[in-house]
Amino acid sequence: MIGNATMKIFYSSLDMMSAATMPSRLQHVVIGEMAARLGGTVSFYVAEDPAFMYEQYTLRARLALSPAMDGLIFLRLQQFAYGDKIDVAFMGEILDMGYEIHFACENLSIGSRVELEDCFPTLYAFQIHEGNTDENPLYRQYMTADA
Amino acid sequence: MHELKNTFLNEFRETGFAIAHADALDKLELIRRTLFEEAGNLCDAGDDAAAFMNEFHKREMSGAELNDFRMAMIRGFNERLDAGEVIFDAFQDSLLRLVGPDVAVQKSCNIVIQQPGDIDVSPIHRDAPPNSPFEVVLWIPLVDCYGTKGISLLDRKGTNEVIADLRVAGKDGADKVYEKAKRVGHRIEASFGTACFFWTGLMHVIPVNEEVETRWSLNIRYKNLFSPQGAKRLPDFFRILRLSPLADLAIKSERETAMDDR
Repeated sequence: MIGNATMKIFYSSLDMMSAATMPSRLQHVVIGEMAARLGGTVSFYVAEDPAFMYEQYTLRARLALSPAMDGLIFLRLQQFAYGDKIDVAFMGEILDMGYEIHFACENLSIGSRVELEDCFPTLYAFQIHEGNTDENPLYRQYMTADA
Repeated sequence: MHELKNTFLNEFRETGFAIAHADALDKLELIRRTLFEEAGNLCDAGDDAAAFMNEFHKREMSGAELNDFRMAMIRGFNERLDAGEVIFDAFQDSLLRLVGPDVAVQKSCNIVIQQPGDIDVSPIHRDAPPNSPFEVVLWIPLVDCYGTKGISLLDRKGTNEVIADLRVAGKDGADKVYEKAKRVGHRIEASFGTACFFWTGLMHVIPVNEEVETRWSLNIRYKNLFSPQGAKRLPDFFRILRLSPLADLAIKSERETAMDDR
């Protein structure tokens, strides 16, 4: 645990594609509630450029600095599914760095590679149902072949 | 047995609902006994689960006290038992015939305690939309239900008529439509050991319980994992319960690719 003996430290990642229906202020509330349930608090947040939702460059840049934290809380699983496939490989990279991964909307936590493998059927089912079929206009604007 | 199952499926296809007897009654008994034991941790529940549930109103719990009791009981119940799994086992044959071998189940099983005269009942509604029309609801009485102690379902035809009436009723006419819906609904009388399977697209009415006993019932939803989702989705509302050997094989293969995909 990075935080003090009783408090975990998390970074949060907002979903800018959801901002029209769930403003950032609400996203902070939902993520903050999950952090509290996990016995921690959010110390820093990132928000991706809508043109690079799949790549998550902002988050990758931050992780390259090896920040002192216990894990990441994303607003929702969709943040890993803005490409053709859900980006399980990036989840694995984050876990390999020693960080937990949590999703506030889905109340889903992945703490290790083993848990990631166990969780894969759920992630795969999510990909089939959600994947890149999001009706979000920002998604259509930035992520489709016509962009 | 085969004929009984065909009757069940034909009824379901025709009306949108059908009652099935548990394939494994012991599973339902396990659920009722576990709930009863959890209640026993919170109050003097006696030694007869059915009697305790039927006469629950005599304890005169209401408001916050009833809610606290219910929540504490549900918490303990969920810690001890995977209700989605146990109910699936109880009605496995009927469920597999309806949803197929790749099964998703609602993450939390709802427990309803309806005391005589309690007017806090859900208004007439259907689950889909916003739920998916590819879900089936299992309504499972934990005590014998009769008269207004049960629920009332409109069949497919009745549901379609109500929806058509509502479209032209306007704000002032909706009450009349709802009153008609209550009259034409099929009253579901079901004993412990059975479940009413109904399609999420059906309108249903929960009457005020005017009998002298309390209703205890469960409700939970199942769907095929690969069927279209509604607004209540996987993984926040549903979870995977069963994978067919084929889907299991395919997903493992996909996993190997996905984990190395950089």
